[in-house]
Amino acid sequence: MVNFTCPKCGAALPVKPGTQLAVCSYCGTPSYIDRREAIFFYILPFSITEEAARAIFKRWTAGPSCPKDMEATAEITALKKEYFPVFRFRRTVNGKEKITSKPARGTLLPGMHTIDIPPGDMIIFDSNSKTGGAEILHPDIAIDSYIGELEGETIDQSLVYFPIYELKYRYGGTEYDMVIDGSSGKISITNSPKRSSVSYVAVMALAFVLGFIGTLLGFLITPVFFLLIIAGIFAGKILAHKVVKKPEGGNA
Amino acid sequence: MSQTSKIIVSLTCPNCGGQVHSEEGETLVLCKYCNSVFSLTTDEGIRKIMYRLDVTRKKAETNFYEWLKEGPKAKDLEKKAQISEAYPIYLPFWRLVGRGKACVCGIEIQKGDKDEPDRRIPHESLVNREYIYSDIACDPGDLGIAAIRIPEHAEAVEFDDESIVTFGVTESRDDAYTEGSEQIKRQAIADGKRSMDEVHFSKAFFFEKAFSLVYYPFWIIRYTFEDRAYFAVLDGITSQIISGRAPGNAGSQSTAAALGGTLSGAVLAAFIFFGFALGALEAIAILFAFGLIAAAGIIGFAYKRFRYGDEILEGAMKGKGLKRGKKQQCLETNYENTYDMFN
Repeated sequence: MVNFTCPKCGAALPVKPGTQLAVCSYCGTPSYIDRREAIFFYILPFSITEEAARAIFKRWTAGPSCPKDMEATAEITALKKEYFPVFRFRRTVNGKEKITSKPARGTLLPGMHTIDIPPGDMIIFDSNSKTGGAEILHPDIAIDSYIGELEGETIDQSLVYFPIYELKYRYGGTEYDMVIDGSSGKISITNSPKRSSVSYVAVMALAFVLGFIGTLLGFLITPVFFLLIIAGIFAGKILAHKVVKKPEGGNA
Repeated sequence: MSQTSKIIVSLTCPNCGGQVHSEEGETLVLCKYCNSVFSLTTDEGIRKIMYRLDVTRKKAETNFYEWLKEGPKAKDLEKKAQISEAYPIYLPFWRLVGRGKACVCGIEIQKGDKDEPDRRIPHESLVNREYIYSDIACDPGDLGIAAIRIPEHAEAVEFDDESIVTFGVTESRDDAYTEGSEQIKRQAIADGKRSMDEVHFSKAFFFEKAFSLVYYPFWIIRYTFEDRAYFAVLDGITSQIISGRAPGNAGSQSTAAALGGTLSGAVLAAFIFFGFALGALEAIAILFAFGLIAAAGIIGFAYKRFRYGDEILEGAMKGKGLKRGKKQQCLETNYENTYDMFN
């Protein structure tokens, strides 16, 4: 952590993230902060509790992309609250500001490769920072290994710890990984069980055929066939309900 | 003055303490009380503007419960949903206001009758309009917000990130500027095209009026329903629902499937029957085509409600689900100061 002092009176100088000027609260001297050589440490607080993360998972399992028995049968096998480190480089490339983020730690977690720092209240990370019981994952990639390959001139660079929930769940005998961003609740997955659309198409096709035949025969032969339309609506409604109805119970 | 056109910030004169107003894009302010002139210093040349949060928690929650009743959401959602958290936040947006000027030349083709050939009418247009571009300055994560529209009565205040959680800027200022000016140029050309079917020449220019970082207030309401976590985001000034997730309604899903399926079948059959009743080959073909289009439209509409209706996605949310509501566009036109010429 970099500490600043006022060059005139020596008092501690609080520097807000992203600012270039800091004014000493004692003597009023403004100081320009040269951020090129330093690395700033920031942390994004959790705004999603562990309980909420579980509930977000449960909501996702009930959504249209997951198999319909998933909410009832998927089981969370592990949930870890962590701070994941990311380097954030702000550089001038061809006269323009460019921001690049790179993981500061080797990982296979979903969503960590196309890294984007989630929305959050970036605060300075120091020994007083509260982590709320989350494990801090320390960087295992040196910042130098990225600096060499980046274009342009440095404006500033920082190490941002951002909050994640690393979640493992079991469904149908297979274990899957997921990351829930602890700030906005965004879910990242690499692979997950999928719901097939076949039964949806089948139900609508059946209703379509009944409606089609009913109308055609109703016009051509006898209006009694119009009843097939009514039959189509009822059959469609009953079958469609079976397709969308979630099984009862569950332990997710 | 149109809704989105101008930002006026109230400041305190450092000399006499009087209330002065400064308009977006201005760098010097004259105090009307003590006649002192002061310049506005900005961090790295960017003006930061913050809007006052107008909506109270009570008002936000009332509107939220109203929203729960709208659309094909789960039955009794407004009774069963429980708010787990409700808090205001500030999100940063890049806002670029500028004039887009474009010159477009092209040809409009009017289809002629059987004996007459097509008529080709040359057109030339000069577009000169003010455009407003806004783009969220951080990754929106799962919040489903892309852009803002600033309401007329919104009150801008001096930047202060102490009182309410303010999200940090993580997107590049110059990337936003480039994207904004490019979009404005493209829009100016598109506006100039108007009735032209062929464009033979087009050129657009962009003139900046103001570029600022706007901090806009929102309410985040997180709620649970059947132990699942959902949320909604409300505008902190107008209290409208901006985005959110909500559980869908299985009943309306199956109704959509049943009605959509049979109705589309019946419509197609009816069109075919009437085509044959008329007899002429052309009539059969035309009615069959109309029937197919109508049936496909109904099926498409109903299938989306059936297949993705388990979850309702409001606003600019990503992912699977039934999308509803309006997504705020990044680019808007201020028609008050338009000087176009169409020939």
